[in-house]
Amino acid sequence: MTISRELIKELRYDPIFSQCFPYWEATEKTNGHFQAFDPIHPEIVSTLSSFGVNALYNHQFEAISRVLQDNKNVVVVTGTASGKSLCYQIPILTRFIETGHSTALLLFPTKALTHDQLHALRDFSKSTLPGINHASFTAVYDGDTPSSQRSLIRNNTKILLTNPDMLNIALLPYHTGWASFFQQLEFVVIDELHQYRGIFGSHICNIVRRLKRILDFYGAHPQFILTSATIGNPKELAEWIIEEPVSIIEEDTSPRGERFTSIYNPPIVNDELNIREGLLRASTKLASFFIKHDIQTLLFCRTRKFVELAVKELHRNFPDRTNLIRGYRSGYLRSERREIETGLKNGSIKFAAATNALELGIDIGGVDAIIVAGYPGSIASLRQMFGRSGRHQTTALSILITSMNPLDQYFARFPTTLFSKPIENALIDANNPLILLPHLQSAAFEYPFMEQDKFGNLDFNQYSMFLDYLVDENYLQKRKNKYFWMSETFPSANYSIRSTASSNIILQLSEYGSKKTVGEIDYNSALWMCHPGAVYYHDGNEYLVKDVDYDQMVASLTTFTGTYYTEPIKSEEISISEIQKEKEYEQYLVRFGSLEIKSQVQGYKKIETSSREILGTESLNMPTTCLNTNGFWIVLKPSCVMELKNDGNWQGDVNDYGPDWPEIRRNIIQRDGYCCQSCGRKYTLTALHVHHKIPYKAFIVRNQANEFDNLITLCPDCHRKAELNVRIRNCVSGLCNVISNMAPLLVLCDSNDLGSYSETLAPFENLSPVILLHDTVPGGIGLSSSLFDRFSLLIDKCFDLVTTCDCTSGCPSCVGPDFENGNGGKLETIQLLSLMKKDLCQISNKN
Amino acid sequence: MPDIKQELTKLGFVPAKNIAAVKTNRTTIEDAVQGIRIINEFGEVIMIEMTYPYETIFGSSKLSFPSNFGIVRKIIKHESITNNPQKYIYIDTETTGLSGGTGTLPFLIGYGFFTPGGFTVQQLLSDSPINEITQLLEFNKTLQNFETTMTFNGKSFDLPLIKTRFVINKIDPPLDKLNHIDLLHISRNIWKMRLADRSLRELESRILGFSRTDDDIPGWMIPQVYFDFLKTGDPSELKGVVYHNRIDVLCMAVLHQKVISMIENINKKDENDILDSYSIGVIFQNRYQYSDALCVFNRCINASGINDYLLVDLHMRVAQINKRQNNWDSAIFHWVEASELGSIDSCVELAKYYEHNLKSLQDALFWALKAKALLIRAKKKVVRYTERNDEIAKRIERLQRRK
Repeated sequence: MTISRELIKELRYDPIFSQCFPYWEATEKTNGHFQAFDPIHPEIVSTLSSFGVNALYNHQFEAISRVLQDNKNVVVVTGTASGKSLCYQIPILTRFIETGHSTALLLFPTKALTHDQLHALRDFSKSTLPGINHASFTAVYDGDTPSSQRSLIRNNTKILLTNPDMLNIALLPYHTGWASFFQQLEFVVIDELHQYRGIFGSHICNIVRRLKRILDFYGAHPQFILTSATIGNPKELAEWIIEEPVSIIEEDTSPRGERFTSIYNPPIVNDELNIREGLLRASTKLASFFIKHDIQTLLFCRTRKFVELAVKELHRNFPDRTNLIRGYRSGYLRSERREIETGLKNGSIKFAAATNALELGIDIGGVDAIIVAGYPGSIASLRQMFGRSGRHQTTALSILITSMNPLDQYFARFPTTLFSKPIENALIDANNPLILLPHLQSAAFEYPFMEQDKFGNLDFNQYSMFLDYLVDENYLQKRKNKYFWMSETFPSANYSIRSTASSNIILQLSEYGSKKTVGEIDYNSALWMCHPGAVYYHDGNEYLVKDVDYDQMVASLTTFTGTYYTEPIKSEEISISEIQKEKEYEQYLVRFGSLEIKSQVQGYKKIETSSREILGTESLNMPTTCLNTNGFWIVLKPSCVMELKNDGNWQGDVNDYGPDWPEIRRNIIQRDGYCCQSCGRKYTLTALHVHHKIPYKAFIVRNQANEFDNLITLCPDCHRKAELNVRIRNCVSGLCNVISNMAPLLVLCDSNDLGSYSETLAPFENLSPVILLHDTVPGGIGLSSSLFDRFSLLIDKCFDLVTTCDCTSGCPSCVGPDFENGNGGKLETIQLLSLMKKDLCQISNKN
Repeated sequence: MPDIKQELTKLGFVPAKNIAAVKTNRTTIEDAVQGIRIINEFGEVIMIEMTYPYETIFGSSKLSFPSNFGIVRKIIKHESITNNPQKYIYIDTETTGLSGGTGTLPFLIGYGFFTPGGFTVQQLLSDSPINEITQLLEFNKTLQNFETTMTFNGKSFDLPLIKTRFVINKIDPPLDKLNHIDLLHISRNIWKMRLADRSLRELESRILGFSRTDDDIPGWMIPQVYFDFLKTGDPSELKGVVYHNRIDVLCMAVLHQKVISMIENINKKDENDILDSYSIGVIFQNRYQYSDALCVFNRCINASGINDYLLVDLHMRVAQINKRQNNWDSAIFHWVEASELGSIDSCVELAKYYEHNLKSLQDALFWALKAKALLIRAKKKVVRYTERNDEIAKRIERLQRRK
């Protein structure tokens, strides 16, 4: 059965679901805009016709013209299934027909995509160029290519498909074997550009720099054709990666079927704590609806565990249809995965719960409905997942189920953010020394450096100090004005292009008596993410860290089946190395620069996943680390602090401290000798207050709040001062929580790529209140720099989130849970945000 | 200029170990290695030359006046192999690393060739990477006089590396125009039964009986010696590298001659180790040199000190050749011999022969059953037991049915 309007109505108004769809959007079918073939080569035209393609979409035609006629570099940013491949297939084959010997290099990030494209290109070229030997004309060159074929490919292949790792380790360091291929190179295709961000993207930029150096040696100057999913800054990212001007094609003129898009925000099940129904429950409820109505559905899950639990639950609900309801994740046998892919494609499998092991490039046809459980981290990924729905222009349905995370809840309240032009920017920092240095080594291996050589856009004097460093460390020898590689080591094999050149801890899983390496993590991050007792999430799986051997650099993990997560308790000491950018406002300053962060993990909290309740705290004895990186921070000026304190809206908390309170109060005042413990003055019993040092609401067991050690006698003035300090602490940590959760809306990153810090009396800023966000990559990777530049936008989004939250004084979906260490400063945070917004209108910049 | 080292350490970068440098430079490199400096408009190179007269002793072998080079055709696949020894050039390089690729430099190219007066080894030592072109141009000049290159593992290492250097320096690579013979492949085929390690050093020591003097430097130290020289300018250690390379080249020539002599004397009793003869026989067989192969195998069969496994193998090979040539009586004889030693395959061959050639089902079945019996008896020691069992069972079943 297919999606119909009646079905949508039924879904929306079903009592189980109603009130929980804050958003529905219907887009009508479009026919697409086509262009006749005219200047395209006749042999290509006839091939296309034989494949049933009788015209090109406008955007395809535009892209091809800019490449072939205007000789531009181009980035194509149209949606899924918009025919992006033709935008490079046609120019490549056209040029070959014209010259008889031109070559092209195509880079893909995954094997599935590479092989998909190989088949498409082979079919295309077989039909267009019947006389050629097609086994070698187009070929894949990657780790799986048998050695017997490699020499054949090197000498004969004209269209080469490979991946960045292979370029790094095989093609570039052995480029003389590819001399004729490189000499005739006319095109370089970079697919899935948006994946080349952060550390990985920074490495790719350097690999392209090395490639261009080699191409220069062979006298080749190819054009670049890039494809990307929709992100905030595709043209900018493309220009950063290839360091040349790029022309962008964004308007998608391909036909679309009718689509329904929706957000499902699970209902609140605990009013007091503002806790919502969990993702698993919500997913299975929705899935059951579709299965009952025989709608083919795909559910995207974040973890393998989620896949298993969802499938188990649905098998329970539909015992007669268990073979139509399947899970899909890594860890299954290849044959099983093939079976499910085929089943989805031919319609025999009605429902699958999948992790992102079901990548793009794996052909499953299209399904009718897509459900995404929890925001996947970027709008680009969400759209790619949504793009999987719809078959041959039948009606498609996509639903995002929002979790309790602040960013998810932001989308639930401002859904158009997901569907309008995204603001999430991809950032790289190709000149981060930890990334640049290994590539300079590889480049020197590939061809000697000469003084005044450029490296990408870098002038010689911008990187020569690294070469001199390498000479000192006996990797290079300098003779006259040239730097030669003089070491036995093969540099390109000594680093990973997905991490920085620092020492890594190996993550080892003990399962069924054997040990298996599941990944690596750099030492600094490991201390706070992978400490003993931590619940660690990696690549779709949850693990418990049993033990870490810091000498052997190995962390022992076991699979984790509990229902809590952990949060490290860190003590941090920050010092500013250099302020590089600054913006000054009336009430506060924002600064960006390089920082030195000394931190030590002192313990961790165990937090129940669904209720966010703190189950317990453990202490740890861990080494201190020192991280040098970039960050941006907000400093509140004294006038701001005054205004926050003096705001008449704030009443003291009227709490019920229990029936024994009057007696406890009397005892404390008596113990303290009727003296204010802060200013020392004596008062009467009725005039004095008794203050909780750790706020009453922070305690789970309320009686502990009233223990003698936690209570102190204060006069009304001093009490007010103490409470106000608590308020400052509340709004500073509340704002910090919001900012760090909203940052991924503006910059594409994983949750561990940014660290946050807040302090009422920051020692590095003259004891002023500070909220700080920093990159966790040593040397920085461009994230906090971009957030600094777009600070105003960030504050706007934070304001929107907190002011539209339904909770009373704070919750996990905005400033943080109400009772946590005096957090719950929702009002205070809104106050601060309002102040900041007001000032943003009166800008005084200082760079 | 910021202190990069400090910055990198702050970021957590782990630098490489430093080497202790500082030595004083007293001798010139030419003197240290006993060579001469050749200068042209592109740069300089040091050339060292030494000629070994014929009859020079090399371990338990000697360097002879070269002859009968053509006989090697019997064991390698090469149509245009030349008979003229003076057209052969033996090449070995010393490099800055083993990874190949464009960052590996063959700073020393050694090559040897036969002259009327003896075997001359010339070596081109590049004393600075900036001078590489001169080394390559000199080498290129020399190569014009030769038709065949001989190396030890050069096919996968030295020759591609030299080619890379030519390409990087934008000179037309010359080596594609010459034939190439790799002694490693030949050595493997001849000595894989007898020696676990067929490296040039091992062959030099075990087959040719040669020991190097203290002037030698082990191969793994060579790159570092060169790096130290580049850094400090002190050439004294380079002598050992030059010696090492020169002996490698000479050794190849002597080894080549040894192989030729082994082939020449293949049928002389006690000339060669029996396993070596056997290996050469196998190569003959693989190269379709059947009459030569038969001579060798028959001599091996009659030799003493052969174990049963080898004997079975020999009988099977002889039978196989005879079968190809339709010498059935001979084939049968050897299969029967093999079967008496417990060979299952020979019984199968006999069964096939009797069934298809002589149409004698009775005999065929006899041999098939014998094969089965042998298989069961040898169960644990047999490879692909199930497969062969099924095969024989099918045969038996078919024969019984036809009867």
